[in-house]
Amino acid sequence: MKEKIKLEGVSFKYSRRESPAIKDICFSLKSGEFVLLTGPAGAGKSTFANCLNGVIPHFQKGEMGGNIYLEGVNTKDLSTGKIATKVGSVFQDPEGQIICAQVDEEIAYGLENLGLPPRVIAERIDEVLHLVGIEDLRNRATNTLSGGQKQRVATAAVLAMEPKVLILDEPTSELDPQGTEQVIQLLHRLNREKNIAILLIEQKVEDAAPYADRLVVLREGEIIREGAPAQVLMELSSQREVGIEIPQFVNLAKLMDAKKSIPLDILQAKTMVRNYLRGWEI
Amino acid sequence: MNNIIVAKDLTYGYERDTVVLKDINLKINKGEMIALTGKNGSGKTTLSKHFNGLLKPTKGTILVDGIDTREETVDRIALKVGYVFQNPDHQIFNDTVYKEAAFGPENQGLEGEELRKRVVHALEAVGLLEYENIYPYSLSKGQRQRLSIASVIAMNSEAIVLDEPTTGLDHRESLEIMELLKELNSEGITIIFITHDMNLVAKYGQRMIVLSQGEIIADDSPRNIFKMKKVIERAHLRVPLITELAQELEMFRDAPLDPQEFFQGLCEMRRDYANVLTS
Amino acid sequence: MSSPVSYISRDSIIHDLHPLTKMIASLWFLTLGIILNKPVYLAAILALILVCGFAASISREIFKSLKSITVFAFIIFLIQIIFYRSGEVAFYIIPGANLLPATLEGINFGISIALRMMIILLSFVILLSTTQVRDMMMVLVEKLKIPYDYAFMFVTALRFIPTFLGEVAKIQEAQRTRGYKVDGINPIKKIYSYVPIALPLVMMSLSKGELLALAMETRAYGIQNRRTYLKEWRMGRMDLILIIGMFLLIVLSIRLV
Repeated sequence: MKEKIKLEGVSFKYSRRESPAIKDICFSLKSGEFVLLTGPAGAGKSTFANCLNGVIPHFQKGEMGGNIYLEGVNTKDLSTGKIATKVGSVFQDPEGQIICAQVDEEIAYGLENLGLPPRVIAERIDEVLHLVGIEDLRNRATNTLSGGQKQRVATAAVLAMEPKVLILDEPTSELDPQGTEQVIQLLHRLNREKNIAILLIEQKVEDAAPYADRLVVLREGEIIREGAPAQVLMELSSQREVGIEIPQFVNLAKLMDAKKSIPLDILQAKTMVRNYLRGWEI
Repeated sequence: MNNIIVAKDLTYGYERDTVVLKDINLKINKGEMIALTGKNGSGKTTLSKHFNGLLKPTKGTILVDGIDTREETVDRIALKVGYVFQNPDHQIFNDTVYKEAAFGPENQGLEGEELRKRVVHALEAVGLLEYENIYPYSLSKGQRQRLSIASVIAMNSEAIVLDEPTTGLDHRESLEIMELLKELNSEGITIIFITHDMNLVAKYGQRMIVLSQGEIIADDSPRNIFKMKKVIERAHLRVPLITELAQELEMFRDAPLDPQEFFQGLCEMRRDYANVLTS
Repeated sequence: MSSPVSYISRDSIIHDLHPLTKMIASLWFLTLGIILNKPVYLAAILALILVCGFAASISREIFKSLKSITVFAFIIFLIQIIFYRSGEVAFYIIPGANLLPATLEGINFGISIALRMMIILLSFVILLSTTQVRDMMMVLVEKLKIPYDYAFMFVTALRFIPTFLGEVAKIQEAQRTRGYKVDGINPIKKIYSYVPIALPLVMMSLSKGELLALAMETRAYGIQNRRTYLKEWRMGRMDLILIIGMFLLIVLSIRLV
């Protein structure tokens, strides 16, 4: 697999702060990969995300150490506009990140900035509305949408720029379970069908873990665990003070002393329980 | 007087043609810990705003500790029922944590030693006393949420209503808030919390009220409501995954609410199974 | 929802007109309203505006605003006939005591003023309900060479008005439950008592502003000198016909006066 983004020993300290928000991070996001990043508040998750979308080093003031590469090119040598065509960003606040008053305008915004011809913009709008499944929202005023709809519009607006990587910083934190499910399912589909690499920052580990190829746990600015979600969560379930959500199925697996397979979704959990009752090794 | 809140045929509509709440009949006893749930737009926030007089019914009545909310002002009712809004940043404006928590009781006319005692007690209860001289915006989101709870505690309310108190918080902060509420409840304060998180409802709700399209469609313990397939479906709720697993396996008489319960049930089953085999 | 006059999305000939044509038309109605003074002509212009509203398939909304505008116009009419003193007395508003005479000229003048009000208000209602603010802005940028950044700032400010109104409502509610009241007559005290509302709003605005900048930056804001627009308006045949027609009618009406 090809590396899309690579962080090499990256640290970042915000100006007027005493200690760095992230320290010596080594990380890579491969083409088509779905990575879930979690960690307690203040662990440096947003700073991490901002290193991937070019906000650091171009926009955010502070001291950066190490190197960030986007498709092999150091992001210091790329403009934010150039980065924007390759890496799309969706933020936490559904309302605040929407720039325009109407949905089609919002989707057009980035493309207009890129100077694409109007005909191409119109085609792209049709495409992404269809892709995200929000054709019915095309002419809606953005301030009349629900939180879940806003996040899907924001995602569509970013997708219109045809990025190969999506970075989402807690996109579901203000959404209800329905909105959360819609957003996570959308990401899953984009990842599978369009081969878009995804870095999802999320507190709702139980909802997102089943779809992730890899789980990264950040704490106090450092990566403390990284690997297959089920294994990482199982390891963390015995530690009290990690401050992240351990899915109920993982806790159950731990109680049942499961060794072979740790379930993340209901199908896997069913198999585990049935095998356990049969007295088989789990 | 044992009821803190009594709603009788409460109806509320923003306009003539849209009714947001329909014929709500509800009694909440002092000292209860209640989870108010339902999907977005089901009317749960609107109902909760009736509990402290922020909204007044268009038809029917609501009594708060025996007082008809239509006959009293919000700040008087707030003495009985405090309200913690979803986003603490909608209310923080003072330059120290202490002053922030003192704003409510000051408005009630408290001063001097008595004020100090109240505020210190409230900050202590939420674990923020050591930060009393700190600038509130330098606190974390979870701490700011606890500060807004402290400013309600400082008003000495008998009941506290919280609108999605854990939204936007990390896992640990959420649990801290819920544990805090549980503790306040054990001291006799009635707690009514709005939430979407069924894991929290299962763990902390003694009683659960489900709203759908402005009507109460279920009012029972979480354990019982999780069994009502139709209610769950109608309200677009999702029972905890562990409960769903147990229901799909169809092996449990009473669906468990957490992994521990599930595991215990499973052990018993395995024992019974072994007994059957040996006899 | 957010303001009494806002864009109504419909399919109509009026919606399809070039924003510039519609902006010219509004000014045209305004000019006619000012230079014409006979009630008959003014009534004809008003009728023309109503036809426009009908052509824009927003007649229901127009009649709704017409209702409140009529009340307003009627009050203006009353004020005019009460204060207009010269000319032949037609009747007394309080007949028994012969008080408050209404003159024929006064009535005539009152009707004209009232109709003028209605013309000016309604034409702007139609402009705003059939033309998006951003389209008007884009026209100003393209045709009148207003810098894009200023136009963008203005449009974005409009977009955020409902957001901020929502925030203010939430803040007010939160402070009200803590026993907050705007006190007293003392102006300094009064200003001070707005702090609990203003401060959270300022903090929120700062963080919203920061996020907006971030969202724009990650969507390639300002990377091209030449930006394109999704909707590029071209003057159609209809636009030309209307503009020429309006010009001729203005000339004609100047002759009439």
